[in-house]
Amino acid sequence: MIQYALYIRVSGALLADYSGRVRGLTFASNNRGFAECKGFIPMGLTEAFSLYSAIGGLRVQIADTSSGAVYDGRIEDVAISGDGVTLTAMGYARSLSDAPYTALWSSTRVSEWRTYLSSDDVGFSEGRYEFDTNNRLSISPRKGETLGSTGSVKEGGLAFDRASLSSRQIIGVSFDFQTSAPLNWVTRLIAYTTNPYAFSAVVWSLASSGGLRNGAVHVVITACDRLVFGMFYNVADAVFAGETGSAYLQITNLRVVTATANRVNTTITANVASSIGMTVAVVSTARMYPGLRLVFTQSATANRGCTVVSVTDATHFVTDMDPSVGTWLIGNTVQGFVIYADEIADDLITVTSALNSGQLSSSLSLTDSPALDLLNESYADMLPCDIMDYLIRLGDASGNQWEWGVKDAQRLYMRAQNAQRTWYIDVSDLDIQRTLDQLTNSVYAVYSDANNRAVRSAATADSGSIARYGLTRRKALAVQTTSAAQAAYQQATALADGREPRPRAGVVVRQVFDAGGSRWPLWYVQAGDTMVIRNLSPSLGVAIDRVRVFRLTRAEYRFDDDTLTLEPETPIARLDVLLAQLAAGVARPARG
Amino acid sequence: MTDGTDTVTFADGVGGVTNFPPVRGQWGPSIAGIRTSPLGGRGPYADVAEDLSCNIRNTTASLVYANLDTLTRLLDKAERWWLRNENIAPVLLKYAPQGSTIHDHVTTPMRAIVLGRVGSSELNGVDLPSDVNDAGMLFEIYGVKIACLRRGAWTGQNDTTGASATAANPTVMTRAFSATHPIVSPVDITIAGFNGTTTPTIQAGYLVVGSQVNDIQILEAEAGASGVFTSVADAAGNARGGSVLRFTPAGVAAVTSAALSLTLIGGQCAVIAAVRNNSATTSFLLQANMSGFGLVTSTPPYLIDTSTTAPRLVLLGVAGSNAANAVTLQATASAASGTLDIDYIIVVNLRDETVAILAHDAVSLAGVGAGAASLAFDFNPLSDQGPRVFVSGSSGNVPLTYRGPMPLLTSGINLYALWTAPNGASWRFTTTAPAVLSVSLNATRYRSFLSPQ
Repeated sequence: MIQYALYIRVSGALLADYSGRVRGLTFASNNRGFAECKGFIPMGLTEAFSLYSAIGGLRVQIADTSSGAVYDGRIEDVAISGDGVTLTAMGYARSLSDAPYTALWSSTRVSEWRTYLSSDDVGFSEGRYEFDTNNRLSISPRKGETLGSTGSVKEGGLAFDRASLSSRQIIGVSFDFQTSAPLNWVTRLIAYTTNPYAFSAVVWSLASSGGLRNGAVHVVITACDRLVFGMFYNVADAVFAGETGSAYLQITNLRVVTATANRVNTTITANVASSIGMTVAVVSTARMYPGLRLVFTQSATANRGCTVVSVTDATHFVTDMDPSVGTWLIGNTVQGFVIYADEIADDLITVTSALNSGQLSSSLSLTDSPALDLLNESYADMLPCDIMDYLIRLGDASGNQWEWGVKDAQRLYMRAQNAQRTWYIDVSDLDIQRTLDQLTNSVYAVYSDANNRAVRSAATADSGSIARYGLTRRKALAVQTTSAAQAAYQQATALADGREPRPRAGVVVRQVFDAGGSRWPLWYVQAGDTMVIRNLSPSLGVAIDRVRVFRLTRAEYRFDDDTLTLEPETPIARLDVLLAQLAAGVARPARG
Repeated sequence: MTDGTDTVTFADGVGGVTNFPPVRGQWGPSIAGIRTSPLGGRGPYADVAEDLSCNIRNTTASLVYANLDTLTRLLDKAERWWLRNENIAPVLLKYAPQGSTIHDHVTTPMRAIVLGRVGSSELNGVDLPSDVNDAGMLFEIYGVKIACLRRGAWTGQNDTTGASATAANPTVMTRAFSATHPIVSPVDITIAGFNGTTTPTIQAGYLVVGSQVNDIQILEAEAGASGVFTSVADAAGNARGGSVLRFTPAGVAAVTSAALSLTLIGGQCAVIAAVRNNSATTSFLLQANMSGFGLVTSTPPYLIDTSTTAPRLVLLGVAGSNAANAVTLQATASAASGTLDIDYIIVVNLRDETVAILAHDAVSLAGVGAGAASLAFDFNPLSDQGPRVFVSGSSGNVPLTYRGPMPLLTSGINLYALWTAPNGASWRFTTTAPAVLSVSLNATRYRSFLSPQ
């Protein structure tokens, strides 16, 4: 016997057990956990309006014989008719659509920096400098401009602001710098706090030596809302006689973050001389991956940035370091910022559960890490559920597809799709559809060369698919790149996705069995489970296993006729995952 | 047919003349089947339609119309009670088959609640013949049709077991009814032994009910000690059996305990575990593996979070097995630190609807007066529109929030029940003394019948 009951959200108290009165009850699970639950309860107007008034404050639970919740949701729609009320509940994944979310997590885009104006801070004088934010940040004083500290410093600056009302503040920045200026010039990075923006701290400062200087900075800072790279002449006013561009500050490999929980912060365990292909021994290579930008710290002025080439094992990695830099010593630090999707998911949980207590558990125990470093993550007025959809779409380094949802105890889970329960069914009435429109067994890529002219690659084809279906269906794949290698990679991925069109199948079942042959009540079947149709032979067709064995994307149980309607999952195309990762600036780690 | 105020007697059981004589050969009681829907809230049998024909007569036309009004009013009341949930008495249809040795028309007829009209038309369940106006001259209406819906199962005599001896919680308590009854029937269960002074708050717990001896098995977890699972004495925490099974993780890999022996059972089995996460930082995934004759099935991994370091009861989930005679516990820690204790597990064989687990929330006894109090899980099929769970004391009842299937059902002759709850730092529910509370079981069965008996 199953219980359908309403509970008062705030107190958790039972409002009514409508098991015996509800009619036409159905409930479903989908790729976000529990989905909708709908039923009609005959009642008088007085009772109906007591529910009408309580919308948002009512919780629906369907409990099975073991008292375990097979459905848990909140009432979202109350429709009163002449003889009763129709209640529609949605699973608690909906709580992630209650309020938009604005936050910066990580940015490496120099294009997001802007000229800092005198109206922002009277100490700045934007008209006396040249600025450049193409692939780097560059500030250089103009020839003939009067510069100096008489009165105000007349500084030139480039600024980065976190999004207005972002829930997270900047707490880390790393970059490589190169500067060249006469004596008495100072380059620096300044932090400002919230609106009205006020000077907070000088994060980094370097007085000119009169010549070229370069290095790298990795610093965890007091939370701030704005960063400004500046350059100024720190003596009395004088006309700058150098050519425009002769003195400058250039910033590259810039990264701004608002979280440091996963940053790489280790130390060298054996002296090592700088070289191309330098193998570095460290305490731990946890969270390192090929492509991660690290900063080696030796002293305040001799830091260097480098990119991980490969991770050898848990304590060694390989990088390329200018041989002229010298020897790195035991105890020198190696640091780099890393942002993972589970950090973001955890923050979404915290923000959502704080906004509406009782709608979502604050537990962070079920968010796994895909271990992909997300370089550019900034959300403005996005619903948390959309952010979660986006994050799981990125997948992980092993090519797994991910999922999120809210089920037991209102806990949000984020995890690689894995085998939940496997059920065995026999179907006599199968509805399978397949369309040739989804078939693509030949692909060529269209990309750009260095001069922005369209280039078409040679088409590649899957001969087996062409032979099987008796025709060639070719697709032009537009690739936003100037790299022939990148275009070829996406071309191959698109071909792999399209060479076997996916069937669409709908299945209604009345009995399910486990591997041991035991019959189970239908309501135990949930989205994410694997279904095996026992009476379809594996030898029926080449693609039969996409029908015979499938993962559920939705399961709907109807109480009145005790039937279960199943929807097989249509997996996300691997090309879509790849493009999403590229858009996020994701680099794949070699190891987790 | 009566609601206690208005009564229509079709046949009086002794051959007397009534004002609503049934038309001969026009009615045989419908026999209910099992409902397709597994929803609870009432018995397992479908509502059935009854189609009766009777005449209405009396000594004057006005009395005939008054009789007709009584009949239609009863059908109206039935709908108001059922469809509108109005606070009125339900209408009962009473029936004693001629020659029955079980039921009689005086004290124990078969009874079923009338739910109102049949079908979707918005007409009263009483249908009049076209010559109804002749009643003004004949003082009789011939061929009045009554089409009504009633509860599918007839309810006969009640059985009350009387209270069991008290036993320290959690113990599987047993009561025997006076006779076996093969039809699945609703049963009221009372767990007594509470007291407004010595147990001012009944903590959240579980009631488990079964009808066969192996439906509920309680196993001492410390019997699974092996490797990183060790047996640790915890008398201070009132551990059942004096000790608990302690999991001390050496890493984050899943580790399985030694097997706990189980009397052979088959089908879906729910597993409840009494656990204590001793760490404020390490969470654990715990699952039960049921095994027997080479096949192993598992409950889903259950997260034991860090929300409390006090003992708690968790429903690990349901595993299916054709034949299980052993249980192992598989634990996975989020870090190689902290410990997880397990005092006991309860394996419940959910083989049919007479086996059920009910979870209830904590409840204060302040509202039910001083002195003795009890937990009641009731559903009277002759008066209740839905099941009721409440705590009862000297000055009244307080409803209790619960999750699980109601009404409770039973069949056969024996009833088995277990009630358990932790209490603060104690694995088992205690009094303020503190001492482990002993409780007793009492049950009342409402015998269901499907056909005339």
